[in-house]
Amino acid sequence: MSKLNDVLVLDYLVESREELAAVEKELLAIESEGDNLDEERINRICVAMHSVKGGSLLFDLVKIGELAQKIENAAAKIRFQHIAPTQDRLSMLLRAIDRLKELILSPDSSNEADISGLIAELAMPDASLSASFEKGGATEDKPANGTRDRLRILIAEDDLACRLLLQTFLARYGECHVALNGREAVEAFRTAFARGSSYDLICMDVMMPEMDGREAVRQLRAWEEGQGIRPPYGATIFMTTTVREVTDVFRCFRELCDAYLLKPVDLGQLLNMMKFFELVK
Amino acid sequence: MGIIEGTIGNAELAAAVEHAADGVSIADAAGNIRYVNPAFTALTGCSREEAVGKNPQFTVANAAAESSPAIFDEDSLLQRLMGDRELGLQVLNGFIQDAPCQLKKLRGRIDESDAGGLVLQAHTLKGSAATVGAEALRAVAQAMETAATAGQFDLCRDLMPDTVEQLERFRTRLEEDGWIPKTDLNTEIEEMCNVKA
Repeated sequence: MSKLNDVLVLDYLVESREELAAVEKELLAIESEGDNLDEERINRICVAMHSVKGGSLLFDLVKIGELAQKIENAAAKIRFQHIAPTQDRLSMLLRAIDRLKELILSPDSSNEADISGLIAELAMPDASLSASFEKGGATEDKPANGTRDRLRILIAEDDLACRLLLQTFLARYGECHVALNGREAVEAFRTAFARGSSYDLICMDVMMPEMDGREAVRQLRAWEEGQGIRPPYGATIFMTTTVREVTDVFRCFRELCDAYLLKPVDLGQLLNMMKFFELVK
Repeated sequence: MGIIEGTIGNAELAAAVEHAADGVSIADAAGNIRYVNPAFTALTGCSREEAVGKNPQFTVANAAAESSPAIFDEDSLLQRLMGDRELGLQVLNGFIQDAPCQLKKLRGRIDESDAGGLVLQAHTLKGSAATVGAEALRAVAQAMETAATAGQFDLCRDLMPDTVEQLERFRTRLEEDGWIPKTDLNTEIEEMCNVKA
């Protein structure tokens, strides 16, 4: 179980309940508005689910994370108009939200819950999706670009020991580039993007000189959005942070980092997260 | 503040003690601690709750014996590295080469009274020390970060010798346990002679 204190878990659970209530409202509104899909509504759903998913990983609430991820992916497909927001799909999403609310009400037993049926329904396959994201190696279920043999990885970290650790370990999974602060990370990201070889995984430290990790994530996501890419289709970003900072940066999911990695970095945990985001098998 | 005012009975003096850069503890006639200031907490790593009600010597001995962090926590390092000793070797040797430079920067920030830079530098050292399992060094770096955040340069300066010592202890331990090559004193002396010549 996590090293974090109970207060933080409670905060997360309370916030998630609020997020899900908001998502429910948006889904009902989309349902009643019929054919005119409000892009802002579906976008808010995506961000809220992203936040619920990201937080769950911090507390090893795997089933909550998995369900939130699948709902996020399904909402993203609607957002990118790969699938239409039909009545069936919307009520399916509402059912999934209900189930997720149940899991959040009993977090201790949530990891034993059977959600396989729901997960299968949420896959919402669509023929056009794999074609339109072929370049990134997307699959129907997982739109990330993790099907590459070798990952492209950016490590933004000002501390040598931590950088060395991540670099040496991650080099087994792909090509690692290093940035010593947020500004360098943004530059490296843009350069790679311009070359058509954007990063699959970015490990971003929070407290760095010149430009901190939060600002860098904001700029990276803004850049991606400018290119028409929105999570979960962009780079997977892990923020590396100390327990003490987590409280301050908990809302970083709003800025769309994908997960937190607590320092000192535990490679087992890192590997589990890479598996969750299907960056490795 | 309630405790200190009750103990000292003079609000101005109480405030001065509370904010003093030197560690202060106040004991009653029986020798039991009734108050410690934040600087004491930062210096000893012993919280107010832990210290109050105890005998000072007991507290110091206790802190040294029980709650003082390990010089090198090899077990948790290896656990975090999924048992990969090879990776441990690389990270530890990288850290040992880099650490003196980090301490130099730390001292530089103190001398320049650069609060922002000092917080960041202490934070970085804390992070590296935690990464390599240098728990005692991490603790003093954390005390330094806290003091720097409060703008207490004097306290930071006071913590500097301890920082150097903890790094030295860590290095010695790594040498003894065969994680890093032993320092060859003769080579060092030779190098020093070369520099002078």
